[in-house]
Amino acid sequence: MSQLSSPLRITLVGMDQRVKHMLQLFFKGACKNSCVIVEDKLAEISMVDMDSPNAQALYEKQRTQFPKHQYIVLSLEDNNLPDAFYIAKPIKIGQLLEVLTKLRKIRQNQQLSSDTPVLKSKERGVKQPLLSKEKSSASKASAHKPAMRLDESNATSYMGALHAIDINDAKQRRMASYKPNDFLQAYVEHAYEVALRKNKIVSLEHSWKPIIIFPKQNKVYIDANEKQLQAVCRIQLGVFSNSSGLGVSLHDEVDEASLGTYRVFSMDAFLWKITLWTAQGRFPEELDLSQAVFLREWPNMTRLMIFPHAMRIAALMHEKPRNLIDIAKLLNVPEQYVFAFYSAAHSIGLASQAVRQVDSMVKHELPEKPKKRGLFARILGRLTSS
Amino acid sequence: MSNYKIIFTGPVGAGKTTAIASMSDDAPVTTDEAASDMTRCRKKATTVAMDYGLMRLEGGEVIHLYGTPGQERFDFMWDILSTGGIGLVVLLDNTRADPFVDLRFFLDSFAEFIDKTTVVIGVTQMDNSPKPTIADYHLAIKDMGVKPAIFEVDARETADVSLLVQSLLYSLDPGLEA
Repeated sequence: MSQLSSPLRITLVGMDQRVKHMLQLFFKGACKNSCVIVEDKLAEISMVDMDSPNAQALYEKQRTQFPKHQYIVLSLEDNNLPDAFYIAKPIKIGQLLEVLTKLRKIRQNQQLSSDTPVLKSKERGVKQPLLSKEKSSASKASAHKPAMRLDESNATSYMGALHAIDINDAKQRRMASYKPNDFLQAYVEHAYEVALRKNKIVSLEHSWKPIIIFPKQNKVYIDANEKQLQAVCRIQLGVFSNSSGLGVSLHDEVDEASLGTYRVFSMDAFLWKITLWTAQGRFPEELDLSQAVFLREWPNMTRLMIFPHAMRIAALMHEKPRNLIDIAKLLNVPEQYVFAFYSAAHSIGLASQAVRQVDSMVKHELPEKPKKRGLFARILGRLTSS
Repeated sequence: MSNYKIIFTGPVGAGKTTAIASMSDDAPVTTDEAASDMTRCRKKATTVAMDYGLMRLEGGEVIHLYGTPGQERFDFMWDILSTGGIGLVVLLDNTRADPFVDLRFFLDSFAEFIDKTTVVIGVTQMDNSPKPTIADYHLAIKDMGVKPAIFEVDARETADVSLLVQSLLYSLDPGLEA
């Protein structure tokens, strides 16, 4: 399905189940699934019955809550509501189709006029959710995606520009750390924790792009492309939070079919990725760099974004607890790769600070060099060159 | 001529033949035959002898890739296969009724070999059967005395199998550099 023909997402306001059912059949039949009924937060269009009880209040509330929606109002008489498409009752199929066609064109124009995929703050006018070709092609893709490999040629895009640090220098330590709580990363972690605890589908309520977490399937759906996601990971949360604060909404069910244009990831792959983009080669602020860390188990590397040295770091960190500076020295790799690995592994619950003092007191050396190292290196060379 | 081998094992249909084919520099020797009644429901052909492939290294050295027979009655061959081995790759099929039984079976069977080398585990068919999860496997293996890398794997994807074998090498030698 192309980006321009993806279904319009409509929420119905002030309608009883019978009318909703009738419209659902209409969207499936006459509209050939060009529209789908979704929840408020997932919608781009609100369709309001202005003849329902408290219709005016409902309409104004909806406008306030979802100012970016397009509006269709249904009524016996035209109320001349500004910025809304009026359809007279009884609804004529031709008229409704005509309005839907106009709304589709509006969406198309908005998409074509969008000059950049980078997040814009609310103050500068956030665009309506856009549907990119990339998302469309990925919509039916499985969450079981192969690993994406990053190389060193563009390392600064995900590792930042950190240099070797002196851990005894408080300023340098601060520069090499970051506060996850300031970023989308912590918000997603929080939402996932709520989803697991409540065993319910959770959507993140913010003024950026819809993100929906399905805890049972361990999947996350997001209506944003890769560049947009990468950009937002670097923005401090306050920039795009709305006045009502950042919260989550719980849902008993969300029709996954209605998320046809969304991209889907496994939860771990998503958290790993956004943490890498957020950390930028830094470690979480609460970590004591002088203390050892441990890796409980190997991450599922075939389904995660892999960066240079990640496999080596995983092996050494998993072998026994060590501090991050020692790991970088022992492997002779830039510290930011080790910091990034720890941050990502910590975000998916696999890495933590060791609590036993003895782990931090032991002098750390590499395991004894095996006799077959030369052979192993040649095999590795063969594997990584193909 | 060197006699180094990487052994691929696991239940029938887990992807051993495919994994070896995806890694081998030469056309792999496969000895699949029509499956017996026991395995027909899972795979039309099954490996009754063993799979073989090889990786050619710089300087002409070769690494032999052996796949154990898929049917458990061929367990007498495992001692032979494991001689001179570098490590063990266990492939498990997540659509099987109880993949943890398979996990224990293959780790127990190769326990002595694993003690001398190391083991990694690839779980296949997770897109068809997402549970048990990788975390479930780690939990199941907790009391078995090994802490292997366990990855989701599509045996048809060279990159997946390659990463699994890389994790085997790094587990043997974390200081290794390519």
